[in-house]
Amino acid sequence: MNSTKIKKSFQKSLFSLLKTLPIMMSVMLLIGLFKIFVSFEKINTLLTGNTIIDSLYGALSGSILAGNVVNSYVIGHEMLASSISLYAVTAFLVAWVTVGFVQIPAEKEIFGTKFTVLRNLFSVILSIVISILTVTIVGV
Amino acid sequence: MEKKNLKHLKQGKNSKQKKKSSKNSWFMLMGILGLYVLLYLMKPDPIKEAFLYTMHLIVSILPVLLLVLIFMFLFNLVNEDKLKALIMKSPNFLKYMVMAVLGTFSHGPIYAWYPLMKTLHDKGISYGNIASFLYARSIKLNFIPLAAVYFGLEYIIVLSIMIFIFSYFQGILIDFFYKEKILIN
Repeated sequence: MNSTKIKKSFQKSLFSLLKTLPIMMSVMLLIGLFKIFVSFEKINTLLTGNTIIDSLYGALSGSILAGNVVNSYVIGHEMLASSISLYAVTAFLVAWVTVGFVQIPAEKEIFGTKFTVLRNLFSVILSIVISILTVTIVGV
Repeated sequence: MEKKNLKHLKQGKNSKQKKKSSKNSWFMLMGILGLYVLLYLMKPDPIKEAFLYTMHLIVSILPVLLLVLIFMFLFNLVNEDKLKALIMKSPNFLKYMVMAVLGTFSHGPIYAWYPLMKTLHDKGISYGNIASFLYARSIKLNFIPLAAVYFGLEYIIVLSIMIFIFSYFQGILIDFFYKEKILIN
């Protein structure tokens, strides 16, 4: 492999990555705003105790919120402590890491609208399915 | 000759789209920064907190971006034709599986991996395979002990296995709706 190819490959990679920086910065700035203005307490008031509805709320809450996975464990633990069903908590945990409403602009910009809509939609639906299956298997 | 002209036209169109997309992303960033300034004038303390949190996020993402850059560099060294030929030969289930395994072992926020996934798609990996990778990223192997403390080991193992299995389905679903074959012309 010649040095020109290595140099070109590196430049191409660096340029591609730099091009995505403004959109990444936008996502992180949005995450900062969400963290401050969308609190767990507000979401907690929506949950009802019904398995399906709670799973859906859990999935939607996890989709709206974003950040480090450890935060989702802490919030999930708090939700369980507040007697919220494990179905809702599981859907919340899965959606937190698989769906990202705040990341949608970045995803759309890079992969296009169709992929972004399909991927996020299926991720919300699958988080509910996974929640039901997991809790049923574990039998809590 | 006609084919060549068509190719040039397509490349020109792609280049225009890329320029437009790049412009849009700068506009978006400016818009969000403008929103921060506006909100700061109304509620300075929470906005300051949000901004500091963002700065913390930016610092924490830097090592991941370095890793992504290395991967992108390595993938750019790969001969596209050979990679396409190799992907063509591989059975479908293996492609989803490999991407899901790679996703399981990846670190950092999801958006940090978008550029690499885009590079892979340009080299012939289907959107379904990318979806499998992105879905399996939610399995956080390094956080399993912590998650076990919060929710129990059995629960977190079952949940991780479920996510891995469904990352495969996610890929199949996306490719089905895309009507996109794993490789591309």
